[in-house]
Amino acid sequence: MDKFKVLEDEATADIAFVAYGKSLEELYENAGIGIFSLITKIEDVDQIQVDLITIEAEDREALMLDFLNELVYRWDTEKILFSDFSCSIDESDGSLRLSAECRGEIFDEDKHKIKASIKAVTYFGMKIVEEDGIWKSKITPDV
Amino acid sequence: MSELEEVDENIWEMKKEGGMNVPGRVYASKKLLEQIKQDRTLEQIKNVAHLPGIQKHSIAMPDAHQGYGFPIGGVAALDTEEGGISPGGVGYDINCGVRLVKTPLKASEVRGKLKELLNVLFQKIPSGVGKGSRFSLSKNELKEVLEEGAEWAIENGYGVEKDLKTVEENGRMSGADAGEVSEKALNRGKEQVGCLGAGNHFLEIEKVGNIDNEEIAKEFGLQEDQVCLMIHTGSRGFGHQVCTDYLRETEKKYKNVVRKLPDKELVYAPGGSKMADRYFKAMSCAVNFAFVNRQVIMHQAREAFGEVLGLDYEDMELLYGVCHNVAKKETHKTNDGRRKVYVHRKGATRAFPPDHKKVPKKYRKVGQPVLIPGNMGEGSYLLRGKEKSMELSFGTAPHGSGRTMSRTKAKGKFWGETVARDLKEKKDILVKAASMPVVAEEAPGAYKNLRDVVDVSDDIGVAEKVLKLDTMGVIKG
Repeated sequence: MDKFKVLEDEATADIAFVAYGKSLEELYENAGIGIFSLITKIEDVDQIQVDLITIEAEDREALMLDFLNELVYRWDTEKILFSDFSCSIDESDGSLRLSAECRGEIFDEDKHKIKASIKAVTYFGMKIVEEDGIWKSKITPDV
Repeated sequence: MSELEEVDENIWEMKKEGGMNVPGRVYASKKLLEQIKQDRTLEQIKNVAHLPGIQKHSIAMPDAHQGYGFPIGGVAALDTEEGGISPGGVGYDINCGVRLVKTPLKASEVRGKLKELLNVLFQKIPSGVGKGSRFSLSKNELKEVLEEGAEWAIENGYGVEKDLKTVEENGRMSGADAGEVSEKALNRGKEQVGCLGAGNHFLEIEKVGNIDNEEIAKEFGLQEDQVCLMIHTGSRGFGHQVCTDYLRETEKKYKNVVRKLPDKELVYAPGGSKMADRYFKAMSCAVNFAFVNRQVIMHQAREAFGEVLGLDYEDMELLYGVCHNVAKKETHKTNDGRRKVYVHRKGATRAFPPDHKKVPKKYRKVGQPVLIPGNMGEGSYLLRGKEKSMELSFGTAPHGSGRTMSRTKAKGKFWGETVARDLKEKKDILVKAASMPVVAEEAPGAYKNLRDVVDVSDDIGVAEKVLKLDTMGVIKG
């Protein structure tokens, strides 16, 4: 199973990909990896710093959107690149709670090549589904 | 998808059906329409027609292509009481827009120094992905920027009073209230004033090429071969954060509204609600942020032209500045009389006709200058707003040439270095870029033909061609 796959024709002006996961948690982890793979060569990002991000939202799509937008925000303001995630999800009382341990390092001009500037993640085409034991979701960032 | 009927030359109508409140309208030639049909633009036009309080038509401009919720090149006027305001209908890069700055120089006086000029501009104006600004503002300073707009820039020495007279809204949306902007947006904005960014944003050195209307060109103070500078950028991460924040807030607050919409990203704050008022104030902050951004970049460019070509600061005069992604409270004639509406222009340019009171006095006789940039090899067009725009498009014209190919596909098809070399060899255009993959994404072959877009505008009478600007040099982020 790929972690994610870039789509060529999904959005005329922007970039889109599909994230996959054997579990819902892994889907969110791989979506995070997809985002940072668009931003940089993710293999070059060492896991030096660990940040804990928690998100609460009303449904799975909103949780995905808020999580990825939080990652974009951290990158834009703290210049941190993440390359590995461990997520856990708590679904109860009609609300979803995501706890993500995000591992990465601060951007270093000599070490990291920046490929794209992602400024927001949109709802465009996003629908989280499970098919034959694989979770997937389309992700469309705005660049 | 509903069939389109050609109701007049270059005017296509999509019949009202199902939950649509008004018919759809597409302004396009047959050729452009075929391109528009390649993605989901028409479906999105239909979806927008479902919004309550929408007046006359859900409109697609000739450069329309698929966006999120609304298409890019989409125009929708929603009644301020019976309708509402949609953050997605404004877009993420709020007040992305362009400015055209005149110089007194002829192309021959610049050509020999063009490379040096591009290098100095590139040095002075941060561009490219992940590049922050040389200005670092405190939160209080940023709040001043957000509420005062370009006036802040002038007070702080980044321009002259006269600059304000020839920008849409005089460079300031007066309803802006920084209290309605999130901490997150403030954190993103305070390091991003005065930088170009990446993607389709650019600085372009252009010269006046073919003149369609000598008389109006003269009114705009332009003659053949005269060198100009075009600046295209927006509100950077700040505007994106404002859009994201309010999309989510309205979605959470108006769950019942969202359920009835064909697409979540159309979510709107109902007219007269506190949310509509708050979003308008926050959006106005982002509009002002972008006005300041372009003003500061123009200041840096004036310094660069001074250094390399010996121009005095005020030798470079702002011809005009327009917004591309914005919602404005305006009064328009609708099917049942005059109404106050939120005109959503998403990837579209205001194009007010002669005698409109919002057109700067200097141009009131001839109409608002309308700036339509094309892709890297194509240059830009200068047009003027015409009367028909009020009848057909709520005073709106197209904003660019519009993509025909996704960024990912363009990167697979084109090679940045080859694109830049071809532009140099075939058209004598110099490209200076922070990133060659961005040049590939922005390759001329990934866009519609600008001439087609401009011809439709001229033909249907929303904006009339004045002159063409040919590219000499480009800086891409």
